Amino acid sequence: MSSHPFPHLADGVTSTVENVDGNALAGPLSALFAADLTTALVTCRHCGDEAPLATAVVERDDSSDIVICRGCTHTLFTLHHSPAGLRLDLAGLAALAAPPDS
Amino acid sequence: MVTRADWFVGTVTEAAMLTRTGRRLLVDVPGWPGNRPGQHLDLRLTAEDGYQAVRSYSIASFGHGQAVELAVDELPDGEVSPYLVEDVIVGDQLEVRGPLGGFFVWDAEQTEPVQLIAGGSGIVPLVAMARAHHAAASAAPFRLLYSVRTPADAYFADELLSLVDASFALDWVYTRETPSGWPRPAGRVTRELLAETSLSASDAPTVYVCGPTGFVEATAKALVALGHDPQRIRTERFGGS
Repeated sequence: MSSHPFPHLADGVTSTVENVDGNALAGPLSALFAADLTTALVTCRHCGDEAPLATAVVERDDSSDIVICRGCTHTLFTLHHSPAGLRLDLAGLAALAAPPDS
Repeated sequence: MVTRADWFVGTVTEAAMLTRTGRRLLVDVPGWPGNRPGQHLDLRLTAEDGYQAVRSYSIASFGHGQAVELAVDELPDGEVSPYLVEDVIVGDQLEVRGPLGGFFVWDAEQTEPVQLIAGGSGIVPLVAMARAHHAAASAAPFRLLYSVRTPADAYFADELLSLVDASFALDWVYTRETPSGWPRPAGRVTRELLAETSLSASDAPTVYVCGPTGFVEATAKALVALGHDPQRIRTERFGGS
């Protein structure tokens, strides 16, 4: 769509994993949830730690966002991106709570 | 301001290098609902064969209006940032989704003291907060600690200096090379340095830290060691080294 074609990496070159945090999930999750979830409190099924999603560890590459509990390093959930769409696997998520209003 | 994120097509209206590797882009985005200070957007590029790449970028501008200001640092092994820094020209179109995120945000209704801490291009969302603080004539005490490799690597240096007043203080940390005559040798942000150059935990500030993941981790840990309440420390990590 740009008048300067975007020259992507050559075939066979795989993207590297980036270590970001839950703030980066705001965009992808907006395809599934109407409200911003980055301020929501997520509870880990493994250690019981409760923290805003924005603070979680996120390992991101082109195919998925793996969301990891900062308390115990277990996976909270995984967001898979594929041509078929978006899929959320709720591996270790015990609860999701919205703050009053922010 | 709506929070539901939609994709928009924007047009680059201004592009200029800020530093050797950093470039400011002004993008006109018809339909953009405005954004809160500190929010980000997702930017999507589509190659001729249909391949797409999406990256998140903080927004330096805030408020209503459809002119969205970005400042992008070129990552040596990056796929999207080299295109935005070296190839994009005025008139090119970009797809953006946003505004995004409600966590790393400062609103003018906040009255508590605020400490901003930026590593490199992590300054971008903090510039939006500093501008909003100034525009609102907020009396909330603001202090910004900006860590850069060398003086030439600073984004928005003149503008930040112009914001300094009774309620906005600015401190610099140089990690590789200092200006001549600078009182401290070049070095990373440490607990001791934070104690000297940022608001004390006893002021109970809200602290916003943005930068590469390693910088944010080290800084947040040092802040907690200095007695800051972890719940008052807001972090945004953008990967990198």
